[in-house]
Amino acid sequence: MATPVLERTAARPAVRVEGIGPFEAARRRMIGPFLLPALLVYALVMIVPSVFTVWISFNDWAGAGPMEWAGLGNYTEMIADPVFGQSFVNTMKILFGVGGAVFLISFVLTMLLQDMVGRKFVRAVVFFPSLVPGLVIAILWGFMLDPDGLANSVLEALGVAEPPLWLAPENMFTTVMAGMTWLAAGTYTVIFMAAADRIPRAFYEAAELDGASAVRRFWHITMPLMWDVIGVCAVLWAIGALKTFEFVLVFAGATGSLPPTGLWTFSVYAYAGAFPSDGVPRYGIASAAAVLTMVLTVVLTLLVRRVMGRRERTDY
Amino acid sequence: MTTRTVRRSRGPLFLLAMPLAWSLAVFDLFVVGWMALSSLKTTREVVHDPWGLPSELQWGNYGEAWTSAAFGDGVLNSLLLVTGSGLGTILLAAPAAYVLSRFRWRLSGPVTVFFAMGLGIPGPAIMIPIYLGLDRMGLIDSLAGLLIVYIATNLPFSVFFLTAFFASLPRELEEAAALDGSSPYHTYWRVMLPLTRSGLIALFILQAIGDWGETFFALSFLREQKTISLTLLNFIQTMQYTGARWSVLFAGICIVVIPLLLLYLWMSSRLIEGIAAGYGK
Amino acid sequence: MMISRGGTAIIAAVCLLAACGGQPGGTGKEITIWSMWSEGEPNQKVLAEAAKDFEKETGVRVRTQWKGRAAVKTLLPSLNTDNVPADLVEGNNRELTRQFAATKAALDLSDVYGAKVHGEQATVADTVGEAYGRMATSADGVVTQLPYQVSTYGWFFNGRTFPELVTAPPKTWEDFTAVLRGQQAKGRSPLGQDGSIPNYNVRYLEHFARALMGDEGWHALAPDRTGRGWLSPEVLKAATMVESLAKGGYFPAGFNATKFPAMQQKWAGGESDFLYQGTYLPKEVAPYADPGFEFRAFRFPSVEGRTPTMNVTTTGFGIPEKARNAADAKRFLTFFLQKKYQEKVSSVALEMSVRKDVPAAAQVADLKRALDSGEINKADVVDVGDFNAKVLLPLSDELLFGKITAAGFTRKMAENAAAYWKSKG
Repeated sequence: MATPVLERTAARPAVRVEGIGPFEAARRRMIGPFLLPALLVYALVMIVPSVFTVWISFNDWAGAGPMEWAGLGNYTEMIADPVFGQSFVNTMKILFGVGGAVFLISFVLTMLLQDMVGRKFVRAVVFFPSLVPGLVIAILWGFMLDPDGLANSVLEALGVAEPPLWLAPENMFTTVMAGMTWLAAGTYTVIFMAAADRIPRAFYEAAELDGASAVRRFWHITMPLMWDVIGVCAVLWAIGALKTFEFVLVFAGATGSLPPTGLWTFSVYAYAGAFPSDGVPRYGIASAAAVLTMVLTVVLTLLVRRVMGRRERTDY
Repeated sequence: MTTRTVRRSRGPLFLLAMPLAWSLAVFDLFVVGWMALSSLKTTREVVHDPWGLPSELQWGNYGEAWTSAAFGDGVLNSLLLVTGSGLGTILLAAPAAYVLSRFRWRLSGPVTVFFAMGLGIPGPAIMIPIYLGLDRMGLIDSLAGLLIVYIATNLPFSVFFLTAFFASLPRELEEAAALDGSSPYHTYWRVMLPLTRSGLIALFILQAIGDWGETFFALSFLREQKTISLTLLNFIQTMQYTGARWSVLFAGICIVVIPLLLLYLWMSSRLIEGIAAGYGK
Repeated sequence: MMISRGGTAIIAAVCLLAACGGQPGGTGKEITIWSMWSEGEPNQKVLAEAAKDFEKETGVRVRTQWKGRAAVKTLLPSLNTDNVPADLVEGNNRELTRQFAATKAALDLSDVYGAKVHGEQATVADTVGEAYGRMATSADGVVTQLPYQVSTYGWFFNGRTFPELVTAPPKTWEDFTAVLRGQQAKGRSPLGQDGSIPNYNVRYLEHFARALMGDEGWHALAPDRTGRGWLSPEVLKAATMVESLAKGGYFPAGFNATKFPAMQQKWAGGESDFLYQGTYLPKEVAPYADPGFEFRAFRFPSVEGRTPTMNVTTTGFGIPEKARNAADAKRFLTFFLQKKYQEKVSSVALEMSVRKDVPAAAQVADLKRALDSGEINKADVVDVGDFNAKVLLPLSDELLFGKITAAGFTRKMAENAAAYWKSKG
């Protein structure tokens, strides 16, 4: 289905390309064989089912059996649902609050680790949490943040009379956000460092002579040169944040029970629709929430690309 | 890069942030260490003295976890899935990312966004349609079916990730290769792809982590076939309902996590090596 | 679907690399059970033994897959296809009468209820009893479950510590609070509670209210679209009782700042005295209890002269309409209900059988007596969708944690319930 489009492109070169030699023509012929296999697999396994999901979102459906047309009913219900509002706020807190913290920490770490003693070691270690299943982290934090746990024992030893109840309902979401920050910071640090390592040393050596500080070097050399990677990470983070789900689920519930609504995100909302602990599954509203996630993903991707793209042009 | 010898100025920020880096590292080590240590205690020790050392190392926990969780059933399948999906994804995603990032053509932007859209598709939302498709092809309870799903769901991330790596390579490389009379395919295989080696390795590791621990699709599409994460999930649930024996549970978790840790440690040195090879001289 | 046609080429290629799974044969005499138990659980052993005996006696091969608690959930997608992999699927009554029944792909089991239990005189319907039979029926009147096991809640305590309560459990809520205050005077926090699980936190309110206004009264509240039902004096009274429970200092400090199952494990370790939990509790916490801990339980005491009925969850089997061998699956159901296997439910799995002639283990004997007398919550079969998760549970948490007053609770319930129903259009 995508082949004719590509052929057309090949036959009618875009105006931007300056002059088409045999080299450029050969390159254009590569596009089809290079792109189509991935496109095909992706479209069949992910896009076709997603179209189906869009269709479900206009129906009431229990996951099997008869479907009943609901029009926009699922969407209007979702928007009028205060719990959905709460889920939206929580998702945004994760997107921007946790996101800001994660990127800041990762930048600082990347900067520090560029010439720190033991950088390989630290880099290897900060990635560890990503290897540990969320369930284990949830268990560990349960032990650690219990009122009688390690965290408060340490605080009490340090003279804090009334250490906070980390897992109390009013603190729980903050604790969850801290946990996500900790988990993600390591991953992004490793990615940024991989990008920073690819910057030719000559750039830095030139800067050394000018006596630039570490911060200035990072700001003026490392950042601009890995801007693409930062852009990708920003998109990934945004989308990951929209889909935040498993961490909340394992952190704040027993097996088979949903966490309190105060902790819900978009995806927990959708999941709760399709996999309720008790009642009839409502794939319609779950799909509506999923469709909204997809739409927001596209919007965010375009937005971040635009912002990053502009920055790229000005900085180079 | 550690061999860089030029002296660096160290500002106050550096001194301030240094402890942050180290305390984070120490904490992460502590988490993994605690997990490993807990797997060698008795359950009573885990519950009543979670931060102490075991009085006697309970190596038996591992044997017990291995047999009662029946990890043996899932190990080979998981290895096949992880390698297959890692290689398969890279095989599909790297060429796609290359033409999307290095070629200027009308649709490269929209197609890139089209791939990125896949990142926003929640797995649970498309599970039933995928199930129906796999069922039609007789691929329910088949590793091949699950492999296709893993590859496809990995594609958006991989294309996106590799696009960035390709895009950040200097344009002069391709032009120089073209001047040397290298064909575009040759340029891709011999010049561009080797330069993204660190990216490919990182991608492989990230996917291996994701697929090794994946339970949702595996649970939905497999029946008699098992993966190691499925056996672990089942084991953890059984533990919860029969009174968790934390120590054995941690042993089970270690059995699943340690291969990942080793893979990561092994591959991360390869990653450095790849960079050294690319920029070494 | 489109996937099938377009994807065939790729699939074929992948099939060359990894051997494709073949179709399981379904021609011989064979049934497949998707069980909610996992290998190693006591219940699994009971079912496995029955399956083996069934094979021997009938020659029908039984393949059992130990799916764990998600058995019903995992089966649902296959009901859209012609390859339904299970002849019997095991789950609780809510899963089978709601999630399974809603797919319209569940077989009606009325004829099984009419049949005789294997080798016995009584019919299945008589053996299961009318109350559990009703709980096995969907809103559309389809009998989608055959239950064999019952769980309910009880106030669990250590019989060693309170020998007098084993023989004479507190009859009224006042008696019980007197016991609690006595323990408090000894410096103890008498009530254990995993405050991190909203479903557990609402139990006090729910039992008080059902005692005060009857099961039908309580279950009429959630579907009330105006939300005004929540302003009734009975709800306020029930909420006030929860408020005094919250403010009475009965729960250990920080009981809502731990992660499940920390509090029930601490309870077993002797940190508190009583815990209102399901009959499966002893199995979950036994490893943390001191040696010699005697699990005992009594039912919820009476409130203003009325004892709340027992909340019940049953466990049993359903059969998909597209099952390959429904006839033998039905035979297995009448087979498994035999006394000798149901006795094992009690003696091996330490659970309660639906059968009245199977005595329960000593630890839950008081509860089983109450169940057998038929005082169960019959209105519990009403499905109110996500009302509980979205409206009731958040506010009931605040009430139990002492964040809002009883009056504040009823007012907010009325408001939020009205808003909830308005969002449903």
